[in-house]
Amino acid sequence: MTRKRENDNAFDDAPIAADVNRPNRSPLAALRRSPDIATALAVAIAADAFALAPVVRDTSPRVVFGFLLVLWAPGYAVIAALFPPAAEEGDASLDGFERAALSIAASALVAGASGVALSVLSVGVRPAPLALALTAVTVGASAVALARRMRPGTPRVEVPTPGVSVDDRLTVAFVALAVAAVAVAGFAVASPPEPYATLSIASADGSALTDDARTIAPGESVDLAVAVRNREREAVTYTVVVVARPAGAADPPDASAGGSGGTADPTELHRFSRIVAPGETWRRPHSASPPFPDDRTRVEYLLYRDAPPDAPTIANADESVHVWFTATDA
Amino acid sequence: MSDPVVAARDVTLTRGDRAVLDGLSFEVPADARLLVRGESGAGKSSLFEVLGLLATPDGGRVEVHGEDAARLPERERAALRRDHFGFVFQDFRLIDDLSAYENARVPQEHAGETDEAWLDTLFERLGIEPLADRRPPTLSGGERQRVAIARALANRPSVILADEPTGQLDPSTTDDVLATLASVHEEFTRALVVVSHDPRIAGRFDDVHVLSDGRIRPE
Repeated sequence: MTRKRENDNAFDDAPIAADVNRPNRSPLAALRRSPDIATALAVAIAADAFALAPVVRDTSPRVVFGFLLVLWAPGYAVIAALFPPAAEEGDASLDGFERAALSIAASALVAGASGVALSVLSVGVRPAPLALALTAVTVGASAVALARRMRPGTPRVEVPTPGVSVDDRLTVAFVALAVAAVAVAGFAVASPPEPYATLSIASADGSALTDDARTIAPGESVDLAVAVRNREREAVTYTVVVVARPAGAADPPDASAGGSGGTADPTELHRFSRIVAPGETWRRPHSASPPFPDDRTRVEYLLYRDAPPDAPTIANADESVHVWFTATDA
Repeated sequence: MSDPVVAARDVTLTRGDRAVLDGLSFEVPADARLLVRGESGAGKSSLFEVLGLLATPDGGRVEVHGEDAARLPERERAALRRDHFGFVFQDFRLIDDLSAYENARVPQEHAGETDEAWLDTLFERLGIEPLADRRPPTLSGGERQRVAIARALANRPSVILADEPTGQLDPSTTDDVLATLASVHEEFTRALVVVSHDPRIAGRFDDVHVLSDGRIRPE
């Protein structure tokens, strides 16, 4: 731990060092003299804007501000609240490196805890709620930090550990935070990624069809229902393309190079689109009447997050299921 | 014995070069509670599909309430399946993306008549009321099968066809599901046909038939 010298580190508490002994009852004035806290707040607000505002939320600054919100802003505010700048020359305080390292570790912890809380509360760990939660922590901790800077006599967080220096305690705290951050990151990496959407079809009796087969006469139709569940963290416009692909026709030229793996001469039977809210399931009953140039036809349900390509196939679909239909005499 | 709700008469079905069902005749009375046993490959699933109008036999008749339905257009067969049959499968065939309650409601939605009071009754009687909002992946095998039974009963069918309904269940859960099916049969008076190779469950049925060589006979 370094002893605080006035104006020794611009990243640290230098901006307020000159005024730190002068009590000030105005939060705005304290904020003006605390550009570090103001920056943390600005980052949080900007991250919220890029997470929520329709026009800008898909732009690249979202990644930058999201990164800063998860790994810096709330932790910086928390550390600023716990360890305010030295009020008097000779007081112990954090240097720039210590503050930065602790901020990152604390931010990771706050982000992990917020994610757990959102999950437990069934809100879901989605960008918007997580950004708002981290912003709430940032604002709250910033308020505490500013209040402590307005009252420089307020004692710092002290743990009564006789015989253990402040340096030792901070080192232990840093190591603990770093270990916790690594654990949170490891959990996040090890957790299997959630599929973004799932697609299923059911027959009229309600039973799900999986690689199933039905026998019908040419010209007949079958009542089916398609279900799409949005597992993303935002509303998504999905399109389901229903394609009948007769068996027995020649394979497309590119089949061996990642083509559909099916047969040629497909006929598009239906195309459905809808905006599906996060966590919701969209059900769409319909009748399928597959053509039968051959004895068997595979009816494919192809799901696309964005606009489907000109030639929808299983290979280029985001998700797909299919049902075989076999022709019989009417 | 009451009139048959479903009857197969001299049914033949060939898969590849093999006659899976070979002149099979079989009646399911309205108050039946019977088990069809057979070794693997004996054609139990084929019989299940033919009786349930899921597959068309090569020859013979499949009567539903006395009317031959084997070769009706698929739309009419689908309507008969929806209104007269309840299906219970070994692999449950629930839609993972729908809640238990939504899964049970699908047949009603296809029929255009939603009767939530009936579904509530089913969920209560089957002991799955607390599971109504849960999705199948969060349920145990026994719970999923009870949801599937609720779905099978959604449209008040005449007959419940169950294909290896305990095939994925442990012995304890098997007992629970069989007891559930038995209570469904008694309480709602639906004909119950269970197709299974599992010899352990034969003791639970008074009426056991054996499928062998494409034909069926009482045990």
